[in-house]
Amino acid sequence: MLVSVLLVVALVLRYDNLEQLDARMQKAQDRRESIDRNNRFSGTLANDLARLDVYRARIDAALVEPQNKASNLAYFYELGSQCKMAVRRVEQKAAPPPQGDPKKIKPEFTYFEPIVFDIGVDGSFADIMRFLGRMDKDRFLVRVDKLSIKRGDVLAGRMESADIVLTALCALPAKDK
Amino acid sequence: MPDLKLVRTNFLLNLVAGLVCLLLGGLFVYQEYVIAVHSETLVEIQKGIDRDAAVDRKNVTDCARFVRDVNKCMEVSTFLDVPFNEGALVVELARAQQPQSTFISFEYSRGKAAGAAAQSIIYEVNLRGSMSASDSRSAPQLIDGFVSNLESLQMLRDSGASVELRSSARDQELGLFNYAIRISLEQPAGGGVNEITAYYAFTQAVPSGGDFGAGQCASCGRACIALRQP
Repeated sequence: MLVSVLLVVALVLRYDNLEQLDARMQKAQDRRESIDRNNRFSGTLANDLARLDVYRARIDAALVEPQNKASNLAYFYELGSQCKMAVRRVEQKAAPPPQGDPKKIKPEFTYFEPIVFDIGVDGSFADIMRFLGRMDKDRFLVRVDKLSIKRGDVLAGRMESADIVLTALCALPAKDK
Repeated sequence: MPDLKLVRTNFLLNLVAGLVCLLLGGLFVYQEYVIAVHSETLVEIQKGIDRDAAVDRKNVTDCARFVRDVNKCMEVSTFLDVPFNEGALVVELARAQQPQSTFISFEYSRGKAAGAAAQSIIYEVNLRGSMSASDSRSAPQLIDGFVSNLESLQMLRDSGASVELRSSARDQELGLFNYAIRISLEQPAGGGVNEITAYYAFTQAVPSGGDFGAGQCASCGRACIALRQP
């Protein structure tokens, strides 16, 4: 009788142990499965990452550095003279704040900060086109948001004048911590 | 026969107690065995986990980096994605006009549609010019011809833009017709590219479009991304 009682006590005590052990085993197995799953999905990850890095580096190299304002403005003047036309003015401005409710509308930029360049040029039609084309494929990632071309005065040598508003991308400012 | 019954009861009781004891003992031994086996398995699994933990950590951080970088690239391609290149459009418009036509001004703008909930982008081109009559056709006829020329431009047809003659008025002094044409196109913002939230290995080609393709993963069915050869 006594032995039985002792055995029951021992059984009950050890059962707790077994339960804890099983819980730990379940956790370990889940972890194992997640590692295996991650591994399975990551088969081509390193390869894809290497390819992605090419694009990322290209993008990072094409970002505008707003603090180097003089150099940025000089770039557009230089581009203008390369296209044999007069750059009347270049301004670097902060981009207008996004319209609408940010909760409802996904902001256009999450990873970048937009910056605006306002440019006025005078030149022949072909030169202006060349300027636009060069700018598109050149140093910065730019998008023309406004372009207005007006015919110049016939007496003033028939130069066309164009006003261009560009949006370019900058890196996000480093977060203060 | 009280004696006999007593003996029998005693014997039976002992037998039952013995059996119960034996059963409990067996259970105990079995439980101990299970515990031993499970602990051993746990140690094995744990060993494997410790061995692969570094690889897994790398997979997880690489995956997070992939997701961030892809979304970054997608943001750039969405940013640059315009239905028509404004410079090329000017050239096309100039080509489509007749010799009797002269452009006065060309204005292109890209902007958000009005209204708080509007998520679309409006592309608009306002073209003003003047038209003189030719030998066989009057200026208004030529303007109508010019508008239909524009409507059939591949670049505008592809993007689904609409061409509209806003005004056409006679300039009494010069005997010309001044025209104003509006080309407009409304597109949903974002270009329909969704941000991805995870990296999943791809097993089949993905739809075309730019350097990256977003689509459904063949194995998991979730939104995925794959890269094209740079």
